[in-house]
Amino acid sequence: MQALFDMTGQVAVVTGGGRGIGEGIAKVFAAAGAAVVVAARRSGDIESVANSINLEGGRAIAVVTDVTDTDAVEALAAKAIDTFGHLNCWVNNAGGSAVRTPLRTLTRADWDDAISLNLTSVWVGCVTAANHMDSGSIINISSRAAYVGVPGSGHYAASKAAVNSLTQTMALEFAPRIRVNGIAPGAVPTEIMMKALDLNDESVLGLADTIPLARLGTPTDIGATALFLATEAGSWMTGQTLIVSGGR
Amino acid sequence: MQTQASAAQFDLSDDVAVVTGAGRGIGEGIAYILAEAGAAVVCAARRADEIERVAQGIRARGGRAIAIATDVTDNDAVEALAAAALGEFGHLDIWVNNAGGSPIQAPLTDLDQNEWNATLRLNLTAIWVCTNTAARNMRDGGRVVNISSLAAVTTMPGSGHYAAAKAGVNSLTRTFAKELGPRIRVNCIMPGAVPTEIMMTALHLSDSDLPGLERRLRLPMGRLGTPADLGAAVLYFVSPASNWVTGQILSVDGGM
Repeated sequence: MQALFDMTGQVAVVTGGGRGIGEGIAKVFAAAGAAVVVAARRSGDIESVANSINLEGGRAIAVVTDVTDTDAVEALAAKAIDTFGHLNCWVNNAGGSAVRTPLRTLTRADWDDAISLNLTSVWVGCVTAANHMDSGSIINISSRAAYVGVPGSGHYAASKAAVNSLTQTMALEFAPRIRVNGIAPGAVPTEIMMKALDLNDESVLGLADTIPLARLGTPTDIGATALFLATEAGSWMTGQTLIVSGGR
Repeated sequence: MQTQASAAQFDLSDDVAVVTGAGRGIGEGIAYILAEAGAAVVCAARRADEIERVAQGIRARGGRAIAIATDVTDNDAVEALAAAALGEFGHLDIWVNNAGGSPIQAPLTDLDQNEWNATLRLNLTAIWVCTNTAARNMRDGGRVVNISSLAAVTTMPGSGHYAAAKAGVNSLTRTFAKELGPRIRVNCIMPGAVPTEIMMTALHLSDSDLPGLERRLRLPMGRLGTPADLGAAVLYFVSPASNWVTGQILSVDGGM
């Protein structure tokens, strides 16, 4: 039974794995038996996640990676295979939006940065993963922002809506060898969300009142859904994006 | 190696589950998987012999299960089903609305109104009644899963009545999720091509059509679905892994 959700023998890359949702996914995968390659720009964060996985008896390495650099993404895949022998799972989680401003006043440079980090890097990540996998699962982390208007973060929302589209096309192009699915998290109080919605530690608590399940999400909530998509349990699912949002 | 914490995300040892339409096909697969995850399962369907066979199969593998003959279009029978679950196992935590189907194929212009009424009663009204009954009888933290159909979001000439009912189920899922949260989570699965009796009838297929069907249907994943595929998705929706998921409608369809 538990074999349905087991990742023993699998090797997974998680981008943006140093903090927040990516850290949650990396730890859930490691607990399910996967060897995890934790990637992000800042070495301190990913070293700490990898160390904590290794201390708890799991297997993980940290690989400093800027996902907007195609060569770095290729090197990340190569490092995963050098270290653990193969690659079965790739989570495109890195993303975010440092700038919060109405679309009318957004600069072209900030638009291009958002598209490069949140959309182009996912296309590059998917293609790189597919080139290095015999079979496996790719998971793109989108956002509930993809489905609604988000004043001040229209560039971020548009990039995430496009990620959902990529998930659908990649699923058809890579089938049946590789499955491609997505997760659209709602209000998980990570640094990215706090910035995107201009929230502070107090105002974020009020958000729970607007959520049918009456609480904010956690990185583990997203990690557990990623585990479903990555394992035997999800083996007949591809092209889907699950909204994990407490019902909002 | 998988840790205990990870396994606990999908453990149902403390749960009692009702599965309607559990005598065959997808419902049977769901019942087996929930039982393997540790739940006590109440198998419900109209035909007693089929659910007895499933319940015995579960018990033979060391699981806990009983069979309760139930017509889900009969409100009193649904109430009695919930009472039987409580009477036998002491509480109720999970309810899977899987019973449904449509034996009649006809263009909407030719459909007899009695057939329309019967289809809506079985596939839509029963889901409303069962979910109300489940919600009244569940402990806090309860989960409802509705089995809808891809027919809800595609066109299927000759099954317009069934498709409309299933589209209604998708809508009920969203409203119930908001109305019953945070006490109870409600989610929905739309199965793709799983060769059950219902699908074979809807697509005018016989067993001799099965070889190569995945190619003729152009299924991206290259194979037809199985009751176990659907059971695994139900397990996700009723387990702690999806504790922050409600009101969602998931296609489990091999990419179709």
